[in-house]
Amino acid sequence: MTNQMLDRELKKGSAELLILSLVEAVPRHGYEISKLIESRSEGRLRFHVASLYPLLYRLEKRGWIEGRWVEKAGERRRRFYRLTSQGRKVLAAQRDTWREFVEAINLVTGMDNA
Amino acid sequence: MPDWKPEIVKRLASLRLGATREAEIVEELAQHLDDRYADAIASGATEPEAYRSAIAELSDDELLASGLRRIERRVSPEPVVLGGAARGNALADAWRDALFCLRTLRKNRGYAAVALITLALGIGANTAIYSLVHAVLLRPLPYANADRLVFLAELMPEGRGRSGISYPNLMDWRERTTTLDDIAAFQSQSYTLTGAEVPIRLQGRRVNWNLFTLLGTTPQVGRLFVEEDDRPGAPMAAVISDSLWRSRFGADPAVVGMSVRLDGAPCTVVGVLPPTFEFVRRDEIYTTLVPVATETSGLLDRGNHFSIYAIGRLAPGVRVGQAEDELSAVAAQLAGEYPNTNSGNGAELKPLADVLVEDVRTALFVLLGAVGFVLLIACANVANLALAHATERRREIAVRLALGAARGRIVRQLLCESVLVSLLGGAAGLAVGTALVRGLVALAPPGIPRLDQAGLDGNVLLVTLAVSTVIGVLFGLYPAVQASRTDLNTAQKDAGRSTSGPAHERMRRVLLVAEIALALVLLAGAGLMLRTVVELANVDPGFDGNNVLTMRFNLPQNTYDPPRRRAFFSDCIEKIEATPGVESAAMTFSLPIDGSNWNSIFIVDDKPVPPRAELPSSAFSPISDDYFETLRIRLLKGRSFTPADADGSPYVTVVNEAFANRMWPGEDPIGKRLKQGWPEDKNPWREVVGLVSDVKLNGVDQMTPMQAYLPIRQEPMRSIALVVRTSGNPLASGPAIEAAIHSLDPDIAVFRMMTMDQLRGEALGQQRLTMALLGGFAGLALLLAGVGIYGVMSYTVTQRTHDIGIRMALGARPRDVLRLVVGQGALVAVVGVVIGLAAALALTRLMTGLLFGVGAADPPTYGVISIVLVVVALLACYLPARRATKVDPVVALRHD
Repeated sequence: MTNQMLDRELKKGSAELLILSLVEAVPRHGYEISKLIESRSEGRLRFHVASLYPLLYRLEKRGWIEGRWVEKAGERRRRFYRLTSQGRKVLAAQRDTWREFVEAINLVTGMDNA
Repeated sequence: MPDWKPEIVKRLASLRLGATREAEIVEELAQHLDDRYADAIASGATEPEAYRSAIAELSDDELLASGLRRIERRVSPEPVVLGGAARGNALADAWRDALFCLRTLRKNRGYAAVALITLALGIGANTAIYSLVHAVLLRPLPYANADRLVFLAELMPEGRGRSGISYPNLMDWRERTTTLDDIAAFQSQSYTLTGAEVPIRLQGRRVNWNLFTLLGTTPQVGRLFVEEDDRPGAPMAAVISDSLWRSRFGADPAVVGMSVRLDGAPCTVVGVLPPTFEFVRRDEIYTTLVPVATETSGLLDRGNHFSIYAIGRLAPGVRVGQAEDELSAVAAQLAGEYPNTNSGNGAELKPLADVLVEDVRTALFVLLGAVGFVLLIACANVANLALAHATERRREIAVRLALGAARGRIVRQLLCESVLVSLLGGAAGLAVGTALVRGLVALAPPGIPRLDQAGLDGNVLLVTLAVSTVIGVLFGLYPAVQASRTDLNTAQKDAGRSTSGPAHERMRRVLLVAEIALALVLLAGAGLMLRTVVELANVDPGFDGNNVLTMRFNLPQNTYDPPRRRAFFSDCIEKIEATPGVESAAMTFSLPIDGSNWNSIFIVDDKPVPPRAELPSSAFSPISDDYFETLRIRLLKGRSFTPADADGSPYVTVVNEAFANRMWPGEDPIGKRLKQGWPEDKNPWREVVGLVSDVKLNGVDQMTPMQAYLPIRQEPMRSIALVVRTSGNPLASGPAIEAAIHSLDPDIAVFRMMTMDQLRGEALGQQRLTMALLGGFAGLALLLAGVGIYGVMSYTVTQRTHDIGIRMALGARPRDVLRLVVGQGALVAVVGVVIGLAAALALTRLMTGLLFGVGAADPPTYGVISIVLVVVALLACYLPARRATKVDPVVALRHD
């Protein structure tokens, strides 16, 4: 129980960072993003539709990512999200914040995490 | 792939999103689930397992909704492009719709432009004519209690029509009527104003003092007449018009009390009328009537009918019919009391407003009808355009419908487009109409009352606005409703060919047939008027008017007694004939065609005297000796006048054919005698010494009246018309002739100097204008109908490129394709012409009053216009048909 709550809180705080970083290099669509999170975290983190998309839309509304419908030949159209310039700034800031946070925790708890 | 939509929509339901947004979200989430499903299948799961794993993503009902709720709530209102639920306030919606409409119209510039121009022309013409009709016919008269004012005149016996009121009769009418609480008489009068520079001739009236109080006029400066001015022996007082005050007296207020000379007699100006004052026509000066009703003037003779008419005001609560009955009864009473003068005379009483416009009413209504037709044709064209336009957009509309647009919204937006186009067309039409009105007022012949005040006013604007909006709704409604009934499947299937349904096709044909029929009716009207004008121009007036100059002048009253007049006549003619360029000159009282005659009853000596009510009446015209020669009027028998026919010599006369045929049919008129006036009058018997051919006196379209000519020396009158035959341009000799007259008497004002041709043209003025207008409208109608046919045929060809391609691929020759297309057009044209002919025959009967020399059902006219219309229609079909034959079958078949 405590773990789940913690998980949720942790996830909430880091979710934005996750998504922003994933669309930093190349535009991705929703399913791609969720698959990447799942695969890169080796199954530890999972985002379902019900939690992923509200997050995407929130980030889009803030102007940090930009969603566009793209139609490729022979396929149905998909919504791709990419990082905006404002989003880039936010991503950099969030990365710094996260790093500092982790360092702080480590310092306090005496854990050593590279 | 399973359908995820229902599950997603279920979870989104509580958010109550707009259809667009919901659709977007649904699409994205469905994609995601599809991918999840596909992945699961790819990694070996069974379908149910894969389905479950995908559905699991949606988790429980509330998570998605609560996650989205905070975000989606603040999403801005849906974009306008796709249809949407009716949310937000109606005004904002309407504004967005309007902007969207503008954008759509800008995208479809071609359609909008053609529709706009067509409407601008149709509405513009209507605005112009309506302005005229409003100014002349519909507006209330600018007098106090205008609807209680009536016009009074006498009626001659034997149905000979209206005549002036004899002065003693008028006095009795005034005394004996109770239904009219006030009567004021007026008489046309012209004066010569002398004093400064050149003497000028003024057009004016002699009136009873209470005329202005009846009309409710107030002076601009000074005062108007009071009862003291209108008594026998009162000093002459004058009220002048604003334009005279400005042009002659420099708008100086000191004009009040100024003394001027009218016809040589002193007269005091007592006041100036307001600038807008107009009574029947714009007169420059008014004097009072009673002081001139003296014994010598002849006004007190009950048998004399000068052109005195009157207006009266109905007593409170009295209807026109009651007043008319009472006045007729009074006239009957007087006929009984004075059988010598009044027997058979009746009275005429009509609302003043009706009388003022009686000459032009028919013409104006015909024009109004004509221009209404033009508008109908324009609307039919625009409706066809709208139909074609809506058909092209079926696919777009179908998509919108599929994405959830409300049908009502789509209809509203299409309607908005058509209303917008009509309003813009109306605005443009207003501009066109205003310009047209100005032009018409400038070109119009004189004598049309209140025309100069025609222009844009609140009424016209309102009517134009209403007409535009109604048009927009009408021609937009049908296509809009039709289009909104499209469903996506049919639209997608027809996408390449996008032919319209048979219903559309039929509607288009019907509209075309209607256009052609309307155009034919207009052409009929114009053609008939053209024939009328041509016939009028070709009427033989009975004289040769080429190179003839005419003018008028009046000898001052007080200074010219008959001997002096006679001397003046001979001196004047002598001097004028000595002027270079003049071949011959003559004097007369009444010019031909002009209609300004002196009519008198008479008796002849070799027939029994008829009862007084049946005494014949003839025009009597004093002339100088060379009159017939100067105008080349043929002398058929006997002789003309010579210097031997002088004062004191036996009284003679020359009569025209109409006179001889009426009074002495089959007999030789030479030697017969006639006497003017009542049988008991002491007038001289005159012997007929000559017979001349008929001359059109009252305009070329009227019958020639009986006419008796008198030698001017035996009947020296003051009012003189001069006819001068010149060897070159008549107007060039004008100044010299005027100078010759002035050399004899500088106080004589010469007026209405114009050539005979101009005089004749003036008389035709109204017919010419009506013809020009009708012709213009008919031409416009023809153009619009032609454009309409071309447009529809062109569109049909484009739509049927596929068909045509197939036909040609299967071996049809260009000729066959041509025949197919033109054949369709020809059918439409012929049906339209037939219907149009029927309608024209029925409607032109209404304009018989305007026609001359041609019947309303004149076969040659109808034949010609039918041919013209069919030719135009065929031409309009031929051009797109030719395009059809150039279709490359390969391209056509590929055109999908």
